[in-house]
Amino acid sequence: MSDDEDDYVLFGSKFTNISTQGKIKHVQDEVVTDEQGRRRFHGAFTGGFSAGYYNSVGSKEGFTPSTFTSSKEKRQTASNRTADMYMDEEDISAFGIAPKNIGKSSEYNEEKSQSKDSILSVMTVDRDSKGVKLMRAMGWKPGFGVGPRKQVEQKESSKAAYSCQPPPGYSKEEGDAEEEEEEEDMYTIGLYLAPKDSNQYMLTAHLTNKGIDYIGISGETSASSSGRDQKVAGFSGEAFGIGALEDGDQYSVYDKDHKSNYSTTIEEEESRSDNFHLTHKFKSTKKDYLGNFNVGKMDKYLRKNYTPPAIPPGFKPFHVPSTSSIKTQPASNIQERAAKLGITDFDRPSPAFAAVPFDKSEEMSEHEGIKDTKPAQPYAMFRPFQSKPAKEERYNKFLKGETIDYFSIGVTDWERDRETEEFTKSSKFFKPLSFEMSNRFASAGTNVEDDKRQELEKQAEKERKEAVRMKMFGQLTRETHQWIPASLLCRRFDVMNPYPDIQSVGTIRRFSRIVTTTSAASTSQVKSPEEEARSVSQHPDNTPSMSRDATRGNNSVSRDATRGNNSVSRDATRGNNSVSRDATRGNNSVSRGAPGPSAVAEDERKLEDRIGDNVDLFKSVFADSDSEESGDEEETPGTSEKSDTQLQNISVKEERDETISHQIPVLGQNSQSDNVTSHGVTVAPELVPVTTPVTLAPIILPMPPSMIPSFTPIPYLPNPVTHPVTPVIVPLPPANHPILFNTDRYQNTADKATLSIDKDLLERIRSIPDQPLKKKKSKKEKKAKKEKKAKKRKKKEKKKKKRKRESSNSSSVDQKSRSRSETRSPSPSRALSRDNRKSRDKRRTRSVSRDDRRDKTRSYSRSRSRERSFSRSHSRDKRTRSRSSDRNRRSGRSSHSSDERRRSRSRRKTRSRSRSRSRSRSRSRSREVLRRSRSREVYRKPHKSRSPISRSKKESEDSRSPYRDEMSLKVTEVERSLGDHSPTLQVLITNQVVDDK
Amino acid sequence: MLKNKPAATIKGHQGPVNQVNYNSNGEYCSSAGDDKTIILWNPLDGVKLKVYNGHGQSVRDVVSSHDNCNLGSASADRCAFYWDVASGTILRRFRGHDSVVNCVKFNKSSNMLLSGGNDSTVRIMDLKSRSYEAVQILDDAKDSITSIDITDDEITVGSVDGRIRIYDIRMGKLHEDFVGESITNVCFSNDNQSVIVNSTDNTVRLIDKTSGQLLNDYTGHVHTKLQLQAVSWYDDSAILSVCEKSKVFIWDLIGGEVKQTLELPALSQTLSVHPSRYQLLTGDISGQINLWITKGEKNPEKHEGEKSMSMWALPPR
Repeated sequence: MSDDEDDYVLFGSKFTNISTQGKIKHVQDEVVTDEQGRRRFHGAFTGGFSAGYYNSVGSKEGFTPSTFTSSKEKRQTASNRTADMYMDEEDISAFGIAPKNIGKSSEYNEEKSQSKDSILSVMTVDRDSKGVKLMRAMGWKPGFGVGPRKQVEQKESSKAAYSCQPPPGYSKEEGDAEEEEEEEDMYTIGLYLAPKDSNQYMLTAHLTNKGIDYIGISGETSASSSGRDQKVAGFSGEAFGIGALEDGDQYSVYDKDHKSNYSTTIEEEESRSDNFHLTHKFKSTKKDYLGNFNVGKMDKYLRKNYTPPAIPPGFKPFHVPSTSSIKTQPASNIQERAAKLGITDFDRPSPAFAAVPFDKSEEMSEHEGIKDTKPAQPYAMFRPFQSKPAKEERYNKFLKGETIDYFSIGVTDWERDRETEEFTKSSKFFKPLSFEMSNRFASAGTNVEDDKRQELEKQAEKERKEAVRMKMFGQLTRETHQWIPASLLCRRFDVMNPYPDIQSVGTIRRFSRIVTTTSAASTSQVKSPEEEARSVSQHPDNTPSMSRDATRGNNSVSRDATRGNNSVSRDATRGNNSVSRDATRGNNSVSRGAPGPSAVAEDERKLEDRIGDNVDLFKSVFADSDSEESGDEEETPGTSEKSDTQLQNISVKEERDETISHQIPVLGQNSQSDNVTSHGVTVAPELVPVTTPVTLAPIILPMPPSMIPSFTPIPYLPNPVTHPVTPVIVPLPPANHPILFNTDRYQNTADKATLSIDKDLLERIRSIPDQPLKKKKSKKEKKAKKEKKAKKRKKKEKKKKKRKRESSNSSSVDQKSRSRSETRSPSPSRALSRDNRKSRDKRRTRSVSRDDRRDKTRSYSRSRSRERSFSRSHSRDKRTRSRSSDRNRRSGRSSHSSDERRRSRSRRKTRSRSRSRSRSRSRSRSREVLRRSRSREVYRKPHKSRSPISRSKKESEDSRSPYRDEMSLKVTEVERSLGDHSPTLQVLITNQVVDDK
Repeated sequence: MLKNKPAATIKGHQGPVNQVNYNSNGEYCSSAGDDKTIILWNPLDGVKLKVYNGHGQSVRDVVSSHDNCNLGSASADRCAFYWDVASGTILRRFRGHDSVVNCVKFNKSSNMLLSGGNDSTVRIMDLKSRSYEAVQILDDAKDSITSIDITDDEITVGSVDGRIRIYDIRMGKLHEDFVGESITNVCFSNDNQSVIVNSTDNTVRLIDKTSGQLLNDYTGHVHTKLQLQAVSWYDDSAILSVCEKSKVFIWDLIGGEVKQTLELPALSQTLSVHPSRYQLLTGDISGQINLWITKGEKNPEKHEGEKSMSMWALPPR
């Protein structure tokens, strides 16, 4: 045996005795484990396949679905779990069901190839391109992006922003990558890292006829590139199922990928190379002995080249203009140029206004035999300041855009500004219709008016800038316009709609209005006449028959417009008495800016007495104040009831440079006077068209576009032939409209129209019967009127006496008002302060009268209360008058000696100045108390506010009330009449002056 | 006096902060960034409460409604959005403007949203109705609208055409006050009696709203081209404005002298004052929001990161 044993060569060691190994396990006890020693299989009661605690989902306590989250605190988010997450390493490993990581690193690849070919290993070819080398030299490393290092910032996770989660599995890898990145980011925040590498985007030429990115099924593409068996593996490309013609058996669609398809070893094997599922790089190495060299396959990426178009023979690459074709001779004038360009009608306005061409209006003037005006200059057609040659000269200068040397004249700043304003307005008013209309359209070219207007605006801008530079904010820089808010806006802001009856919204610009259209009726209840109606009225003596009407109309209208507080409306029905009075006044300008209570007028007259004759503005106003009062006396309560006829004032412009004011009775909305419809001109508030035979010259009808529902252009009529005219729509606000209570508002919404009507028409209008209106006045009323008159006369006499008594007192009032009117402006001119004083006095009286009125007439838009107020108006007048005189007396008492007055003035001055200076709260409060006690202003209530600003502007709150409009009524300025033979001209220039505190 | 260093610096925006605004009670602030986002912050501890995404371009303005439930925002994408604060959803998108929307404002009852843009209009939107049509368009301005402010019954609008326009709804009046240079910001003082006007002639003006008179002007800062803000403290004791030299100027309102200047870490265009405290927020072009507090106060603790909205008691709807 030993020999035998010797014969054998023994390899290895002997088996040890099995019995020494211990107990032999039974089959059922054997446990399959994986490489890590974890139990692979479990029984049904131990969790089944792959379950369990250590190598599966769940916890020691038992299986808890990881997808469950309590809905109480945190809402469950849709899980992003995919099959991968349930896979073991085995599944992912090379032999698993979803092999993932198979492949070789490039290092291995290189090593392999180097070790294979020794010669090549010696002659190593550096595969890096020059660029890569360069970048490496600069510090770049493969895997990093290019660029300077950046600090890693904390990224906000934008997940919360999604309204819905993407479906599970959607962009899974991306999400994973992001998560990983985020994890990385957590540690890299704050570090400076190179930017991440970005994939090179390779553009491929589109060479097929298929759609972009469409890869059709082809034998080549189907799975062959992946290295799988072509017959077995699924194919790539897009198609809609297997076609009918295709052999379905060729591809086993339902076949699964099998492990055996893949190589299990990492070595190069020619025979199995097809089955390799390896990276592209690895695959490429097998090709040939050249190892690292690949056969280029770039033909796919080649671009298709198109040859450039052949250059035609004789082509010159530069342009040589033929000089012979156009003779460059500059056109000497526009006509010539137009002729050259083939434009025949260049000077015509835009086609929309072909009805009123410029040149036709010129013809017109020629036809009438007027040649002294320059037709080319639309502004020169009117000379509003004819009575004052110096002023006219300045006006002409102004129109030409020349600078006016005010310094040499020696006027104050305020006067200068006022005049400029006046000029601006005048120049705006006297524009032909075509301009007004073309204003609504964009013009292709430029015209004179545009330039002029721009110039004017420029100048106004300049003045404003100057004011800003001088810090003269306030009047000079402020423009106030009517603005109609939308009703919904008012509702949402919890504010009462200031214009409940107006449908249109937006801003109504104040300029370009000529004559105030006023309605006498029902305006006077809460009307606060803050507007300044400056009327320049000249009555021609050569047309006496006309002037009567015209004067009367103008008179009553301007009165109604300006004097709301009186609540006395005059209409055409007023007796001949007043008419004749007006007529006899002759050249006297008829205009009244005095707001209501005659006490104001008295004050003004006193003022005027003091001022003297140097300011004709006041003179003209106060000269009229007497007659105004007498007019008041004539009024009876009956007139107010009768006053529902609304009057429209139309400034009539003759073909010559004359403007004659003419009044046309117009139906009011709530008027019972249907009989007035027989009148020639009927303009009702509901936009009833005018249906008078009127011959029209260029009409100036500036209306806010919002007020005109439909615009009908007025045809131009070359000859003064009686012609049924196209309806001129002159909107009047409804009678029960709050606007009517506020003349200022009214002025803006109502329209002012200047109609140019020939004499024929005027005759016709003049013959409009007054009877229907007169009839309405009953005997009773007449009687009442007479009584009233008598009463008034008595009262007036009383007052006159009183006035005499108080003449000294009133002077103190003036002093007081002056002291108050000290503004912050560095050099307030005398005129300004005077103006302030006046307006303030007025306001005071007004506010007094309003105070007692307010409680009675809370809702100002109620027509009933309005009527009540009519009947009450006179008594109110009396009351206010007596009140104001009372006040005068009181104020006279309060500051008796002139010394005291001066002191108070200086105190006021300091106060007004100290508005912006620093001061302690208590001091100012005490001062306020002092002031309150001193100034017996009824409407000034103590205003509580913590802020120094609000304290400084007490009045502002008071003025917020709609009843107390902050606008002061500037006195109606009356331009004195011209000589007897001068043409009539009336301009009602409205001007609003912001009351300055 | 404020501390010379910001008490807290809040980072969150990727680009410049166009607008930062306290909400109505001053507890939170919302900021509008060039990065198309609006962020709701707790300014004291720097906690980002919520990010509001939705605008297509840089957000120019954000304002909180008076009940703090909604936000209004204006963006360069010509839209004004109306947001729900708690959910972050856009309740309304107003696309009326023809150009960049510069500013938005709620009215006092927060049922209207006013937006002004470079198309020189202010569009007044009703939030109660379902209509997307503007209730009214204020088109009086001749140039871009830069800012809007609203009192109970007045709307003031500042425009590049150098005018402020005060729309008095109650009186039905429009007051146009000429200031001269482009107006970059206009706001009512807290007593609603005057208007603070910031214009590009290096001047902040205080203009009486009723008369248009100049009450005071404040100079010393540089303001020539940027859209800078000027505001007043809650008690109108001082006027504050940012400066193009990355400073905040604080003037005495009555005296008009410079009380203090704060050096900002970066150029800021916007600032917001606390509604009841001397607290200031500035948002600068680097995307930071700086909190400035008075000298006596302790700097707030800073918490980094986000907290969920549920942790912050939002006012009930």
